[in-house]
Amino acid sequence: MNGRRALFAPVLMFAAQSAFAEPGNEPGLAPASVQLEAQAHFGVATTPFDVTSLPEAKGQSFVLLAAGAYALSQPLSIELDVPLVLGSVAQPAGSYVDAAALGNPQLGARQRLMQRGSAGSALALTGAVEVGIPLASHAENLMPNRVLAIADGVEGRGHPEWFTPGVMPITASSALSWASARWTLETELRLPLFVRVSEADLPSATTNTKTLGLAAVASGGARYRLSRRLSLATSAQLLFDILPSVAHVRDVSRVQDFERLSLHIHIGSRGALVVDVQTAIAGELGGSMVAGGLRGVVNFW
Amino acid sequence: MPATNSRARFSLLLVALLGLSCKRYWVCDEVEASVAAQLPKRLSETGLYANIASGELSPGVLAYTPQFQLWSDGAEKQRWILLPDGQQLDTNNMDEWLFPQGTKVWKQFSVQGARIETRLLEKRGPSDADWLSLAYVWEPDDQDALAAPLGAIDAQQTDHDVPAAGECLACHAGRRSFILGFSAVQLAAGAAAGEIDLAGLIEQGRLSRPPASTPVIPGNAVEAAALGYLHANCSHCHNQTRPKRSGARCFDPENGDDFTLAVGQLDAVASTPTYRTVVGGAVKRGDPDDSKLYKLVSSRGMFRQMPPLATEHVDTAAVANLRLWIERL
Repeated sequence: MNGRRALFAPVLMFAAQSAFAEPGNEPGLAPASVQLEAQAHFGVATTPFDVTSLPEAKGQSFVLLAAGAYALSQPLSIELDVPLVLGSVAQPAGSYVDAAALGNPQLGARQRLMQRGSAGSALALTGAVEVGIPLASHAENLMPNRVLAIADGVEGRGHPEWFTPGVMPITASSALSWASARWTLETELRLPLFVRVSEADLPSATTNTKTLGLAAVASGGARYRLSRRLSLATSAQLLFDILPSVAHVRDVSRVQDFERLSLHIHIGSRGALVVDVQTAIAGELGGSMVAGGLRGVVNFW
Repeated sequence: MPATNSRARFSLLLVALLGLSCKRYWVCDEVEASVAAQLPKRLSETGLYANIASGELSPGVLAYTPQFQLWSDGAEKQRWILLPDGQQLDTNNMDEWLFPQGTKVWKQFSVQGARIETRLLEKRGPSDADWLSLAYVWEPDDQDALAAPLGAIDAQQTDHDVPAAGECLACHAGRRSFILGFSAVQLAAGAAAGEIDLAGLIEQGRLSRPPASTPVIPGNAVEAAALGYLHANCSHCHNQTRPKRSGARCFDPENGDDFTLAVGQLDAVASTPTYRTVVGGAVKRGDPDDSKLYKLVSSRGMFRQMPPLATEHVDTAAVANLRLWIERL
């Protein structure tokens, strides 16, 4: 542990001292401020689905997300994510059925663990814990289960805590960000743990649900401010399917990549509209997923 | 499941996005679980077999084979029908036979000799809307088949997909008769030993109004095969007598194309709705490679294949015949 600290400290110091003239993006929220985010991504995906007779879920979906954060104090904020999915699920012979499903809303708290700033940059380390309310839709016809699986694919399988029905997800995460006048660099590690609370209508004869499941999602990204109004961002994430919450019914890649390219349109000092294009190169989604859409972020204080 | 490249996926995304602003033909309504639950859980309970272990059929169950078959990626198919005792089919419209309440029709799919699934259509009430549909997937020990209302992908490690209960409507609901392969045209060719055909139905007094003569498909062998292929594979959607239904569009082309072989329009190839559709723009005479119809039947992939359902492989023999036909038009 001491060795890791010894390695980590110089990296942080280097980052903190690599300051530009003005801070570009103050990490965290000011006290009593509110941040609201709305997302609408649309995409097509073919994803693993762990029922023997239906080993994949294929279709198109809108992934809608309403998110909010409220800063209780300078270092502590509470967060709420509510995912909703509208989609069309491919049936085995090739027709489609429209379906809607609610994901697991996530309620969490984020604590700023460290912040260092200088004249031109800021470095912040945060830790967060989120608990999912197990409301994700499921039904005997597995239609909501499948539309959630497609949505999971559209988001690169990077947020399984949103889209896994029948579980209460508990997600611990830590994020490190560094921002200067033009550059913002971010990296995050999230560890969603799934505690099963129901069988989610999965057929018991052909499906093996697990009491616990665990995944790890590592992500990193960079954003460059092109002008006062525009920023260009790119990010990538890797999912590690460590302990599947439902045993896979076929050979499934346990690692999934995901890449996103975004254009940020800054609206005043409080808001931004983000245009995303996202896909996966390899893993189960490689060649079968493409998505895009909009995100809007507004800060109130 | 055929591999799909990234460009095709992107096209799929664009078409799906565009489709959001219009009535999407590929979307069907889900059949309520309670509807499918009205049918037995096991094939052995549906009345097809007197003894499923020996394969002995129940009394009154008749085997039949339509002269033009829907392409099912090369799967071997067997068909049976059970008509209620003493009842007749309403054949006042020779192209839209109406079946009595209690009719049951089965179609069994085998791949490389192994039984995969058996589909059941049963008319539970007197109206056209009273047909129920369900597929039964054979157990690995081949002793019985279990109801599969959600269908199955790559059943029994083959690439054969079993349709969900609601998907049957995508094709069958395109005709008032609902039963697509049991008609005057389809049964006109004469039956193999032990099977029923048009002449047999007339002889048994099963038709309320027998046809004046046995329908004969016009044209030479190439023309008749092309007309027959298009009738069996396209006309259940592309016809002009499609019954109106509420709900999702569900493979209703909503255009003027018609690939039907109708009993009263078989005097010559040029008399058929198919010919009129073809020369009306579906093909470019003499040039299959520049013909929309030919391109669609000879490729696979969502939004770029015909038929759009239940097939992942091209029917190469039929496509070769269609090519020859278009070249000679």
